[in-house]
Amino acid sequence: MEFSFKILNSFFENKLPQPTKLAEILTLHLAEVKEILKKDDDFIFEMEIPTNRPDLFSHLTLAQEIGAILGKKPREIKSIFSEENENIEQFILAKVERKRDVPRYLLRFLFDLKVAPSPKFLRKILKNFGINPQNNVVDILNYVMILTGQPLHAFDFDKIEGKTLKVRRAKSGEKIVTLDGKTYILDENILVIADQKGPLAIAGIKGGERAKISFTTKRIVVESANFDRRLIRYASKKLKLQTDASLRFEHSPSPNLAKFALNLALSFLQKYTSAKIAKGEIDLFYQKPKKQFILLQNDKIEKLLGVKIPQKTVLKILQNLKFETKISKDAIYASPPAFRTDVSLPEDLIEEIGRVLGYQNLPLKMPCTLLTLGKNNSLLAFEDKLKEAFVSLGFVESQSYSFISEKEKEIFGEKTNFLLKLLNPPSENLNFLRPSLLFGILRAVSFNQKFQDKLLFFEIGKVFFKDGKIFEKERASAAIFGFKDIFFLKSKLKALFEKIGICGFDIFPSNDLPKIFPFFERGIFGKITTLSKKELGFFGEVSREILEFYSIKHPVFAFELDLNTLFKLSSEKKFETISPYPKAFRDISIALPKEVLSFSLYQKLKKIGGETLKDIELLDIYQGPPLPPEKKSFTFRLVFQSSKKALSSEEVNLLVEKIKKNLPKGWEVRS
Amino acid sequence: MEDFERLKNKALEEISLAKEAKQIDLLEARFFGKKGILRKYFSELKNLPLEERKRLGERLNLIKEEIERAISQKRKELKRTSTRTLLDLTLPPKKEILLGHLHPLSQIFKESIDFFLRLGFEVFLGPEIEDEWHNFDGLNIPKDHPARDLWNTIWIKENSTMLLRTHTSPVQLRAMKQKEPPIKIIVPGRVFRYEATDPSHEIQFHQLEGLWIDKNISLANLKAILTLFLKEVFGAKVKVRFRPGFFPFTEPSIEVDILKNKKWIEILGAGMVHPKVLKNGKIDPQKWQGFAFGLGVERLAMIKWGISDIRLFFANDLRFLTQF
Repeated sequence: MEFSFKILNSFFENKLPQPTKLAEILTLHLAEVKEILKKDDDFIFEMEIPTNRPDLFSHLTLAQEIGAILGKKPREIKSIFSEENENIEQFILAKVERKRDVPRYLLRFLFDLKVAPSPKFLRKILKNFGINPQNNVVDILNYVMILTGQPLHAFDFDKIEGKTLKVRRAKSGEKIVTLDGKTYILDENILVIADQKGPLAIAGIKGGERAKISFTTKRIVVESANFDRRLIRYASKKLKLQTDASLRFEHSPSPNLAKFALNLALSFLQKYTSAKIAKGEIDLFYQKPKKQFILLQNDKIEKLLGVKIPQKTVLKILQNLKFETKISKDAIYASPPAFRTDVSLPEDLIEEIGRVLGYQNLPLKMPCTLLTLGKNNSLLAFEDKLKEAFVSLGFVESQSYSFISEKEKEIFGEKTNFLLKLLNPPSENLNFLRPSLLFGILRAVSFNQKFQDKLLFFEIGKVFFKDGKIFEKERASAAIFGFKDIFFLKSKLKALFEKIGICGFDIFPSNDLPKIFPFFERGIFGKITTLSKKELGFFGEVSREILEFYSIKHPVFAFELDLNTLFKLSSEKKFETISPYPKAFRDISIALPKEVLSFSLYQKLKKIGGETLKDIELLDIYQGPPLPPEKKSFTFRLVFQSSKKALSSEEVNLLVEKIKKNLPKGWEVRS
Repeated sequence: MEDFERLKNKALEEISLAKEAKQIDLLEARFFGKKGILRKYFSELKNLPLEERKRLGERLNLIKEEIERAISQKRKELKRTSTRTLLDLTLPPKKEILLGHLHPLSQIFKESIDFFLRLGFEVFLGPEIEDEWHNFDGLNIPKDHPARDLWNTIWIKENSTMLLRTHTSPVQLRAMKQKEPPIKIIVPGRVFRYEATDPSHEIQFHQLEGLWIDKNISLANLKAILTLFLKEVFGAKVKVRFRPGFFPFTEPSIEVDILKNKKWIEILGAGMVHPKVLKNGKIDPQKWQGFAFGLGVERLAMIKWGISDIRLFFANDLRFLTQF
């Protein structure tokens, strides 16, 4: 909302502080002044009006606020006009279809007026507010709106068909041509002011072409009304038509304001158009605000603000803000002024006191309460630990949009019913919630491949999908680019798990690709599983098609883990005594059927070797002659060590023999 | 005897005059080598009578030790003072590519959360897909009120009452319903807005919400805690300004600015929890009161590090990420 420094100044006998100083005062005590623009001999303040203060769309209210803050009294504005003998009802009647839609509908009738261009001073003021001057009638109504915050409208009486103005819901498909010649198609949730023939105005938003004021207009009906904010907001959004009037009505100004503003308008109209004013008014006042006194305990102020404020000060502040006050022993009763709609609780009164005193000026006090122990969320603490582990392994943390695009959705093909779609995507690249973090990471790889030939990214965040109901899951994902061997990623994964206290896992090859990211090379994909077969996530090489989709030049290996499962399985590290006894080494080659996973072989060896078999190092895998084609051979270095004694050569040999003897059928030791 | 003394003095002098290791090597050979002077004396000893041999032998050994000591000392000295071609250690090292980096948002979150943990706050989390009641109605933001326009909302198509939370404040209500007062929590999390992006607007960003409800928690307490926090992040000299604000879920509401480059920059919104919100959270506003605040984490990071474009946080550009 824009305010004129000049107009504000005109309400005070003594000059106000300089514009920049006044702006600072307003910012500290009322609402932020965003900008000051110099226009001719005036300064225009751009001020952010809080949505609960529709009364502030008014220079008069603002002057009052300034007065209360500075302890100065602004000039009172009086409306003076004379009425003729003719009664308004002789000319015009009003009817409201639904009382709930229209808290107040107020009309006045004026005749014998001379429509002409406005005086210069008025045209200048309007121009400074970005309003095009029209004629003295319209300009005065706009001026009064600027002064009071109440939108007003005038109809050319001689263009109205019939004697009654009806405030009603529009019929579906009903049309209106507005002042600016545009046509709008209305519906049943839009209010109109209509005569026998049809709509004359979109209520509270814009007047119609038909009864608009022209230089030949002689008799007018001036409307000052109050409309239900929800209807105005709906119509304004629906018609994509925001006007000075709709903006104000949307904020639901007090219906009390209507009469005050209308009277002010009448005094100006009479002065500048020589209008005669018919006797009386039509005032359909359906929702009268109740006058209420709010009880404010003295100690409540101290309790909430944390500082004792003398009752005298409190009273002065409230009275300067035009509150009606009564005092009792340890409390104040205060009733807000007629145009304030935002004050109904003691807390609201305390806010008035706090801001007029200035929050900046209130003291700082550390709380006096029982000590409590700070407590991190255990999942978040785990997440931090995981992030640190990733970073120590050389990964860079990415943070991507929580969305995927329509195009990215297309790579899923037909099966996309698990994706969560947005009703109003903020851009065409953001249509669905991400079901996997890997989309973001692949975008990151694609973008950064020109800067570095090796990339390691990880991301931790939420993924979303539906499966009957809506799921929101915490995940941790990583991908590497520029490395030839997928086992490089596995070694990173292993180190990561060691750091977060997950011992024992493996990746079991599978053809069953995950629904949320089914984009792995066939055969180079597996599920990350604990030794007790609990699934943690998936792991593999990203498929060619996906790399092409993201224009990624080299293979990408990736995994995604479920954070909650991981968290539940992670454990505190345990210390293992370092054995002082020497290690013994034996190399051994075992031939076995090709399809057997090395995991099974390791398991078998560990089971037979027991505790003394400390480690198994893989030296070589061999296929080819002299082995038959259906076999492969592993060469291991077995590492033996006891924590109790030095092992003798015989003891080690015995263990190796035991392993050899206990291998399953079809597995044979080659050397 | 005098020969010995002269020999020693000459040797010590020559050693002390030596300029480089080579000279010392030569001197050493001259005294101790196969045909060295001392060796010669020693070999001559055996021709002397026992008494004489013993006396001179001892003496000769002492001289030998003294010269040896002088030689080894001179060697050390020469090593210390010798000048060699210096290795150019200013040569640039290879770029370390396997260096991990924590995202700046993770860093600033950690720092901020640590601060509040030290003050005894508890971390409390809530969902990113939220229902309309928790995000709006329960927070005293009615339907069809212009106040809702302050939070442009992204809605979920599957369910017309579900949305992407526009702020972390709905978690206030969740905590109130789940916990008994006193409640002293912070809520870190991602939030979403339906917005055209530009250097200062993003469709997603992060907030850190705080809520402290107890019998006597006041606005003066809020001012103290927030000032302490801003000093922690921006240093003890930071200038903080409190001014009126408007949020439907706090009463009174304040906004907090800090002074940066001679301009006040809005950094967070706060206030005393609105009695209606307490009621909606099943807490009796007659007995309990408290403050709430919400700060934009990206904004904090932008001011702290002088980052001018909020979109950098989600662009995943290594040239950005590797600076942190």
